[in-house]
Amino acid sequence: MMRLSLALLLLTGCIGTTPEEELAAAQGDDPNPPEGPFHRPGQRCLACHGESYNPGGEVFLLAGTVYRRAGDAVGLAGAEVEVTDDDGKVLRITTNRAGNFMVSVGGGGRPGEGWLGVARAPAFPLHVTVRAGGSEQTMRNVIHREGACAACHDRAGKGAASNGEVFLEKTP
Amino acid sequence: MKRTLVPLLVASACGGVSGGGSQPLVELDGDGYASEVHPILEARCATLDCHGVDDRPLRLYAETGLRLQGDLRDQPVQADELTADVRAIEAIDPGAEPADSLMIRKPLAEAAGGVFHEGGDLWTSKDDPQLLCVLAWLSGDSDPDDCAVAAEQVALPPPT
Repeated sequence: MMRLSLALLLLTGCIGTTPEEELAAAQGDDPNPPEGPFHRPGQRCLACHGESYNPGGEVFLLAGTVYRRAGDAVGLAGAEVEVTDDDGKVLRITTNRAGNFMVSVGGGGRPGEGWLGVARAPAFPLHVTVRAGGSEQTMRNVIHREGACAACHDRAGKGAASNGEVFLEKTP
Repeated sequence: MKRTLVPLLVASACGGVSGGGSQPLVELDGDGYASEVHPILEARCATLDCHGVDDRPLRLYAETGLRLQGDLRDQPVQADELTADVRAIEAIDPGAEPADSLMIRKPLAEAAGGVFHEGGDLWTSKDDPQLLCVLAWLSGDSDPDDCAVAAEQVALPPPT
């Protein structure tokens, strides 16, 4: 019994938050959680829209939220997100009214709502630039494989494993 | 005693390469790492979605990636972060010859003699200047020409 307990402890000690737990935490007690391209800005979109776990229905290769400044409560509408893949192919997506953008593979999408559908997946690594209103920010390094911006750009701000929100202008 | 042992066991079961149990093959040169190798690894390996993850084998720190403390974000990489990187590299494949070590064979394409790498093929040939630069450092040597070419290839834009 002691050995079994120890083995379970070792196992659970290595497991972080499950996708189901992340979903439950995001939904909270809301009996009618919001849906569509405008919901849950700033959260890790691929937690529910990833290839391996997608209770949100749509599967996105890339998705995130752009803010004018770090700490803003509301995302920035109308920002252009430019993604250049390893083959030099350029994708441009415009953020929707929530500041959200998303890219799915297989065509379709709703470009007017921040959702771009592409025929084939871009080749990683990806270079990203965000611009709006004459301001521009380019990621200094590349995305090697993570499609959810919030995985490395935590809404909670900067930290040891987070570069903070994706923002366009420095806070004065 | 048991209460102390269990958290230690949990921690060691989850740890990457930062534990003290591994015996490095050689003691690698920290200065050479900082000046020649770290820029390559920062650009090609150490992003937050690859080896810039705390519990990952070959956990790497970098200015644009994982930081030792949260308040270092936006600061240049620190000496203790670079030292931790070197210790992680020493522990990744102890006992291996530099040319056969996972530090070389993981990023190298399988067709060129590498092994499977979840992060894909970073180098398609054994003549890649980045590979040669890293290999020279692992061998206790230096290859200024290839390291200079590599540095140009991996240069990151300055912070804005």
